Amino acid sequence: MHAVIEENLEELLASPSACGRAALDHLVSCKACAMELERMRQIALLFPALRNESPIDPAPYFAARVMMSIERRPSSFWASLLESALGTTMGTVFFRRVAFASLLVLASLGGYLASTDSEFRAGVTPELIMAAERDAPASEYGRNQDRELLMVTIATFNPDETE
Amino acid sequence: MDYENTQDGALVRRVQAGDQAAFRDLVERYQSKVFSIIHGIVRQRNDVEDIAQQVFAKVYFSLAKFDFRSSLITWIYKITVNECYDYLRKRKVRKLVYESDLSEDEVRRVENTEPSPGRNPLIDAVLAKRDYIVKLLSRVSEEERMLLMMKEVEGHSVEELAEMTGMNENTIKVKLFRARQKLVKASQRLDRLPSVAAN
Ligand SMILES: [Zn+2]
Repeated sequence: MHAVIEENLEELLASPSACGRAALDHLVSCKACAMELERMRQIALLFPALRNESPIDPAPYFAARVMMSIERRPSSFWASLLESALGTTMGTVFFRRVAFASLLVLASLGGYLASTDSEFRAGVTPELIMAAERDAPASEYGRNQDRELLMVTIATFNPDETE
Repeated sequence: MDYENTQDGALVRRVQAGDQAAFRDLVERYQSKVFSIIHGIVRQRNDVEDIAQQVFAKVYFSLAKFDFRSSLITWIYKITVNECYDYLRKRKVRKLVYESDLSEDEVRRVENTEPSPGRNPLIDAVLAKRDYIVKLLSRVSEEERMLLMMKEVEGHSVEELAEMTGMNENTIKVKLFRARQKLVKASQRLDRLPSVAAN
């Protein structure tokens, strides 16, 4: 399709009579443009079939049902939180926080491995935590909550605040 | 146009701040429009509400990303049309799996494609057009589909589209031109444009 038709395409499809002389003259002399335009016009005529001629009213409690379905999806909320964090400028900050948190975990794990042979430190040890977790009543809800809590902690961790 | 200072903008800000009542207002404001878009594309009355519910859940969970560069309705429109196409894709896959267990005769009976003397040819023509344009629109990008539908189904002008999407008019024209060219190519491949004379 030639530039003169491309530039006036929307006008030519909407109301050819209102279109400039140059485009109309070109259509008389250029069969390829005239044919492609006609094909586009035919396709444009199919779109009204997508118009909803018999409106359907939403059920009276539709909005309430939407709110309920949203409240029932905590995991999706976290997925979207992560997605939005990664998809925006917050992504960089988020990665910095995850990287910093990972480094902290690695450092403490390294420290633990180095110290576990030489001495048994008093207080809360990794063994104690794992034993407590093992002996705790198995609850899917509790586990999910812990996972969410962990994600919040990681996602909201700000290395600047520790400085 | 900056949509942050509009009524919709204020509503979005409230939802982004965690105000659930604001989201409920948003649903109530746009539910009729969303139902209408869905019904126009999928025509399965029974499924409209389920799809609409998915749409609003997606709107809710992605509202954090809304940047006010486009109008809220443009954004909801795009999510709604995408959700319809997702639904059609899933239905097609389900149908293919189901049909793989049936004989050709059984498939014809299930689809009710055998000519029936009681069917209204005018309604058949409209349905054929709808199926055809839905098929063509599956060959363009999400953005192109949204622009074409806002223009041809909703009747917005190029100027209005520019304002609603935050793009300039020339960009809209170029995008529409490319989208229309893709539709022409897709229709040549499908090679059976239903007669527009049936109007
Ligand atoms: Zn030409």
